[in-house]
Amino acid sequence: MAVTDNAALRFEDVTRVFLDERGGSITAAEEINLTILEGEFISLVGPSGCGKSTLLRLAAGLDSPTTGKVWFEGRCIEGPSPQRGLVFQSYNAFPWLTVRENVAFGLQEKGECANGKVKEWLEFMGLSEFADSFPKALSGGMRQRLAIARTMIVEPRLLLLDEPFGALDETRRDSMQQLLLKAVRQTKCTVILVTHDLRESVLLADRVVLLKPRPGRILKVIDSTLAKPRTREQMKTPEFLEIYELLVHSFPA
Amino acid sequence: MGIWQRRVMTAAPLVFLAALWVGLTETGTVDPVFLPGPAETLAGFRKLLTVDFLQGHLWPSIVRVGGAFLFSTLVAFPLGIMTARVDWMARVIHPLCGFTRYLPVAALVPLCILWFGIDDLQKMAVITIGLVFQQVLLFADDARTVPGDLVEAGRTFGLSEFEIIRRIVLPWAMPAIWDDMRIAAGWAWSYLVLAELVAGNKGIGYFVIQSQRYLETDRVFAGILFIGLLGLLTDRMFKLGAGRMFRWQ
Repeated sequence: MAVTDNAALRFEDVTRVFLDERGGSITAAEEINLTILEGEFISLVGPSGCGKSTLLRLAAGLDSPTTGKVWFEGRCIEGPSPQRGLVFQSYNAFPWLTVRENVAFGLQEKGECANGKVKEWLEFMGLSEFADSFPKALSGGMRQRLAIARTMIVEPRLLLLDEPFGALDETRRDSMQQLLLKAVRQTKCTVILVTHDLRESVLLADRVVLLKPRPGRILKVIDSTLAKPRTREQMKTPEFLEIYELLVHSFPA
Repeated sequence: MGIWQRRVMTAAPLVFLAALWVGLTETGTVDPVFLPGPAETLAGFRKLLTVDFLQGHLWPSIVRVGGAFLFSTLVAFPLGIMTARVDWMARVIHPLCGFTRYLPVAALVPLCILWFGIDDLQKMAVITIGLVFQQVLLFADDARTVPGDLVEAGRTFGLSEFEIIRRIVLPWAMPAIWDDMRIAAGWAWSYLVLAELVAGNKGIGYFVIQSQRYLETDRVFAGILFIGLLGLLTDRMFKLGAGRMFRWQ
């Protein structure tokens, strides 16, 4: 099979079947073929049970396909790697570490250089004031920023986000989206975003991948051709609405 | 319920017991040989604060409890963590500890005397047998409570299994492990007294049984009080340590 030169991640005939306790099986993902280009921003959307999170875990290397292969930069994924960072849905900070120590957790290097990076990311995410607090003192939004900083500080080439803004209110979500886009622009990483917010998926991504459940399959891939950098104002343009409507109409009932 | 009502409820049983104690002893209803009064107990307690008692009985007991507790904890700690994290270890350890921890320690005291004599080694063996199997299972349970997504976060940073244990499982489980150590320290005192009651020539338990033989009941009471206070002190030390070490909780 011809390999696209600038492919970052490729799902090749990926099927993932889960067995339940009663001997039944659930096909979370079936014959998924998807190539994601370097620097591309992809959204995965679809009803619950469509396998979006499964695809994310496969890309992270936390799970492996029942059949098929997942390729990252030309190599078959066999396990997790710091090059593929995952931001969990659960805002899972390490509760025994301070905010500063949490951000520094994945860094290999120590000393001045590391301290500088940590300081930069704390500032970028607006967490400097809380650097020496424990995560329990943070609000939900701050915890999410902490989780993103902790993942991005190691400069992964692929960033995987599992419904990162699901629990935030509308206004906070806006500023978090802008912050994320800024961070992605700086690090030039490839992004896969799992979300249930269709507007968000169109606004942030280059391509929106729509999945359907039972079994989890790709239903449609829609290009989001809005000009960059993306801003909230674009959500009022006819262009945005056209893509959004197309997505809504394709959404499985 | 108001705060005063609750305080009264807490204090009532203690006041009742104290009143009963004073009532039964001070009025001469009960012979002090069976139940010495508060004044005699206190006097007996004061008499214990001599070099002879502290050096001859208290210190050996502390060394036995401390030594056996440390040994047992040092053995149980790695075994417990590995039981929680390594599949085949769980298969080996669970049936083994599951069986041995239900053996009554008291029934093993004669065997310990046969194997280890009647000196320090026997006391420490009794305590260790009483503690170590329980501790392995307790520590394993503590280590198993680590949330899966924290471990997975560690894996996405490329941590090895060893690093995951060191940097994620242990820090997460340490408060619970520490608390289980505190509880086990209480058991250690009980098993020590059991071992010392049965055989030996020094230690608090030996002192209590000797005093009983000579019908010096005030000294029996004072000895028991001393053990209680030492237990309380150990408990406080663990709690103080927890407050300092686990501020994140």
